[in-house]
Amino acid sequence: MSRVWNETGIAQAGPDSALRRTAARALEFGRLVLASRAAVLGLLLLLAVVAVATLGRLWFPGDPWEMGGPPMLWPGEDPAHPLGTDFMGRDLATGLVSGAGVSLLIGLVSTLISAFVGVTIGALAGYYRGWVDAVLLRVIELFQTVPNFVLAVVLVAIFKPSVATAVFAIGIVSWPPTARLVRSEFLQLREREFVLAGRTIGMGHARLILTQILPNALPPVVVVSTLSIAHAIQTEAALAFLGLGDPNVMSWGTIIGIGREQVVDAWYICGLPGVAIIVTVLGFSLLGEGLNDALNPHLRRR
Amino acid sequence: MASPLIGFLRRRLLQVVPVVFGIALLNFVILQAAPGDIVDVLAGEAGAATPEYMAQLRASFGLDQPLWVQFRQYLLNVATLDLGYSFRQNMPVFDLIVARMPATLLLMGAAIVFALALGVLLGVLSAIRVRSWLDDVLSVFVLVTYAMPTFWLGLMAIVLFSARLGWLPSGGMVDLGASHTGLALAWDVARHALLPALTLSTFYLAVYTKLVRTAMLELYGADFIRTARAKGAGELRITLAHALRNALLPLVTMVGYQVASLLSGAVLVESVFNWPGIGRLAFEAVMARDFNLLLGILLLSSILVTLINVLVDLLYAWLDPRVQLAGGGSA
Repeated sequence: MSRVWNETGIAQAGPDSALRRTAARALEFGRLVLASRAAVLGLLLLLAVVAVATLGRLWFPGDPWEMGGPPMLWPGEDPAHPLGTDFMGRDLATGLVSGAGVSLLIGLVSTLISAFVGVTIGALAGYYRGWVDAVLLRVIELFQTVPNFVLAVVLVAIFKPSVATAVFAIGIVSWPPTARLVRSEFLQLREREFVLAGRTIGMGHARLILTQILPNALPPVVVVSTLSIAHAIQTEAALAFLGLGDPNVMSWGTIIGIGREQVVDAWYICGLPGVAIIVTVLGFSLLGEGLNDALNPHLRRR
Repeated sequence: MASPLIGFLRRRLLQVVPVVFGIALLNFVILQAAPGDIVDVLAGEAGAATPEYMAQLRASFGLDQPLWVQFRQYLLNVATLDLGYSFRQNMPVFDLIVARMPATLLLMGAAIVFALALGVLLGVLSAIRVRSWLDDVLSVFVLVTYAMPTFWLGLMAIVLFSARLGWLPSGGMVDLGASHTGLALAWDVARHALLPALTLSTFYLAVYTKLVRTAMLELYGADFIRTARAKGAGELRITLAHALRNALLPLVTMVGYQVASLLSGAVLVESVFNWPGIGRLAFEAVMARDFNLLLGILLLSSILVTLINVLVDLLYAWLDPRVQLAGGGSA
């Protein structure tokens, strides 16, 4: 690792110079990202959430559904339950730790799905244009007309609530922005000289799309996907809040849903997971903003 | 004005037809992919049912027909506004949803008005005091509001404003005990609507604040603003009559994009505040596993989004004289 670091920026001719160039570009990009205050703050918040999800497990290894103590303990009231308990005596700290893992997992996996669907549809529409574009654009418009959350509720309710259906439903409703973005990138990139050059030397459609255009279209997709993770985490929490969470998994939304009936007497049961959601979502959106600044340096400071 | 308007409406409503077809197709696909069918549900309700009786029921619902025949039948039903029957609520699905529609429209309308009014105000303030402490406070506010789950904000608002301070009712649309009429009723509904509408509006308020700020800052550098300044127009007039009027255009476009998301937000806000709209109905349908009703809500709320978008296009043409209704149609 340190060897690569020392040699950044020095473009050496050699068999591995392409690799080295990529590494140098990645490092340069990393430095730009770290120069953005938003990105650093976002990364710190996310590190904290990841630490809660992983190290927190060691601290609070219990089953979040288990009745661990007296019910309705306020935070700080009993050192054995530092964040208190809900009306069934379930430990809130254990629940929050479990929720951190669920949120990160569902956010990341559903965004992978939506990025895959969005990139595929956007790439096909932008590359082939014509009737393919017309048809796919209709599909994109359709999914942007249907209220996303209502569709997610319908999908999860009909296919039985579970982590898998939540991931699937959130992925299905959140790909259109990615598709639109990739489509417009492809529409521009396909006219560029290097694509023409690739076509001239006889590259096929698949090879042109995958090895020439796609790598150049991906950076903005990373930004959109970071924001999409934030949105997915909120959607998961909302589904679980409505009682459409996986019945075996304690997520932040589940805890808010559970605490809802007693919210007036014990607002901390709903309050704490809400703060956890805000911190996580804030982390991803700050990181997304920082990535965006690093990709478009000329747009910074507005 | 009358004839291009009618022409525009006719063209625009014709564009709605394929969208409705697409939504119906989507609904049909979900219905087909769902585990079990209506006969399984009915049989479950009734307790025991013989396989022969279930086969007979399937035939009577047309479920033994080929898929395309079923889809044609489904389209015919949608075209005649027959969305099936909700056995849980004992009412046709269409009537149930239409009865709940006004409450949702009221909530969405109030939320949009709050979001636009406050968003424009905060956006302008932050643009004319750019890089001041006020601008900084407002950008932090925007960031945190983006990250805040709407339903959580609603719960916390109930704790603070109804339970602790006792200023506003915590849920429902009217005071059930007192049977108000006329103005008293309107006041009662307004009191009940304030918290849910403000809750629903916060996210959009943040979006509009940021949007107006960016648009205003861009416009301050534009030639026509410099011209106005050179003519000797005051800063207030420049801000309001020149910059703001043009900053409103991207705002209206944004509102059009967000109608669907606003409806999604309404589902959550309505279930937090027991607001008797289609969102609350969706929540009840989820609780009762009433899938027919749920699919009807998906269908009608999507159609509602397309219709509101037509209205937004009209509004856009009215705000921006350069857009002509007789032209391309969609803005």
